[in-house]
Amino acid sequence: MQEEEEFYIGWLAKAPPSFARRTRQFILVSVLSLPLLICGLVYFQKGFSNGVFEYGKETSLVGKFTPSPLPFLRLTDKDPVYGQLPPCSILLVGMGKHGFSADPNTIPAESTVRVDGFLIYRDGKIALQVKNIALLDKKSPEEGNSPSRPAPGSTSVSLRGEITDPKCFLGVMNPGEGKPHQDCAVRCLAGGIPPLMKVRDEQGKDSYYLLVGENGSPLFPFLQPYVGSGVGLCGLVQAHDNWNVLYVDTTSVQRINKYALDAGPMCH
Amino acid sequence: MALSYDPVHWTPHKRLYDRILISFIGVYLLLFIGLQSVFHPTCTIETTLIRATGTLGFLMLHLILIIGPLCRFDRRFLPLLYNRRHFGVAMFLVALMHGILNLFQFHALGNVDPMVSLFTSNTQYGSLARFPFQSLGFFALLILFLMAATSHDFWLKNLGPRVWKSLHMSVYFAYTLLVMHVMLGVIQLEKSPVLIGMVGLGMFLVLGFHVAAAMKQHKTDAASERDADKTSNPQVPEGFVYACEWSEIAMNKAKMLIIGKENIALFRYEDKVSAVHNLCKHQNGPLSEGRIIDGCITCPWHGYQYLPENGQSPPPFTEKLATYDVFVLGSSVYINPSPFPEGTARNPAQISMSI
Repeated sequence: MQEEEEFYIGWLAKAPPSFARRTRQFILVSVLSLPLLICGLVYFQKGFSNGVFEYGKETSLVGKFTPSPLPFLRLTDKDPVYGQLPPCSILLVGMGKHGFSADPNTIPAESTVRVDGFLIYRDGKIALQVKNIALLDKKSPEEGNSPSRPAPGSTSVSLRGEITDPKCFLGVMNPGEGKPHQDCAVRCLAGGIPPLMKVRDEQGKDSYYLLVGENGSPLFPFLQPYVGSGVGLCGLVQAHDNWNVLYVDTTSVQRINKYALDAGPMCH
Repeated sequence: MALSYDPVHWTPHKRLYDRILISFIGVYLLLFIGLQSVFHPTCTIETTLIRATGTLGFLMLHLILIIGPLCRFDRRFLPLLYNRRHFGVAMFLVALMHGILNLFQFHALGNVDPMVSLFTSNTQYGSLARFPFQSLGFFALLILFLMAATSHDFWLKNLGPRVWKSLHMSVYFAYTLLVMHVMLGVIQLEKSPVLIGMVGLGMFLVLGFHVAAAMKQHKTDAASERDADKTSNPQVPEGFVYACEWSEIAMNKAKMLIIGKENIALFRYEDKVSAVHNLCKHQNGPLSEGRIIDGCITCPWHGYQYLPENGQSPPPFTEKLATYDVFVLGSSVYINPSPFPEGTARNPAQISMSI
């Protein structure tokens, strides 16, 4: 009855006992349930990859520069990089959401270069965010032989998976895939970073493909609507040391449910 | 109540409220970041901060929305309502941090301006599954900004309670946008039924409390409605409507009456009965749930006060309410539902003289 008579006025120094008691109870329940709530929010997240971005830890690598179909550094060093022994190719990317490109007159294909930058690696795939590139042994532009078309005998494949960008996916962002990362992947691809397709087989094993057009041309903005969602496509795959480069038949690209493993395009 | 517009009119209660609020935010962020580093050590700090601020902001918005209906069921929760706007501004700042982190993480350092990127990276507005969910978050943040920026009494006074209230009701639109932002965004990646269940539970609580409070209010309103037909009792002056028995009104309390379009608070105090408009000039608080304290009608929400005889806030304050004529005959109270201009003095009806 006394509680019924109590009246709360916020600008008074003290709240009536029943109001103060109820507020304390509310705060107590909130404080006690907070750790439980946060535990649930944290624990039930999907999990994160073991990708690494060695930002701030500069690495210098020496190798042959291959600009086409994608900018790779083919290591000539004997020391393994992230457990990968030569022959090993490292995808070169620029700062921020930008790809890497070099003037062919300044650094012709197959020239020996030393590249300084920050390593990004995951599941045996390596990229390097280039900070500086120095020419050690210049090839003449005519000498360089960097194919922009798939070699004869390349394997034709039909793949289902998700398209993202390799820089974020390998470790700069974690997770660097899925719907929340979609806009970022589009921005990276627009900046010249090549698209990467993540493919998961029936055993749950992931494999990765760097995508280019049929004649080695960039696939952005063609692929923009397909980024971050399930895609099926066909193409010719060519190994580039530890990387696979897929020359995509653009007429085969279709949106699919990435979880429906039996769906996908029929390849010629 | 305050005469001048201080940035914050501090009271001991507000200081305590803010201390608890800041501690709550700090504890949440520390716990989230700590647990994330234990359960997911390879998660980047940027992702951890984005998720910590996103979940905290969303949780705070739920609490803010639930406080209102909670007070309808148990007025002892009113101390939580008293300083809710500080809660709202704090929630906006947390959400802003989330927005800035996202904008930098996903849109900065690219080939176009981050704001251009936000609206052009994904333009698949025609697809629900691929909908550009970040734009939903942006517009929700814009609404929350407008609310935070106009939360001060300066804006309440200058916009007027009706416009101000309408503007601040857009929090429900912002909430809807944010639910979609979460469901079409991170939940498309994080498909754990527990996380989906948490979002569902939050929606259920917000909706459930509001529906239950609305039903309770509807019931109260229905019980307060009076027939607008004028009484035919020749002893009662013309234009008056039967309200209730004066014994139904507890001393220093009020009874709410809805007569036609008029929402009236009928107060009994000392030996008198007076009537004023039921909605407080500050934030439309229900004055009929208030009390007469020190001779003044006192609003239950923020303690705004009015004199029952003329509906005016005691000097030097300037708020004014419409007043009504009251007539007591025997044990019955009659009211004329035609309002007088705000602040018009009307003689209270004397109970003892009518017996």
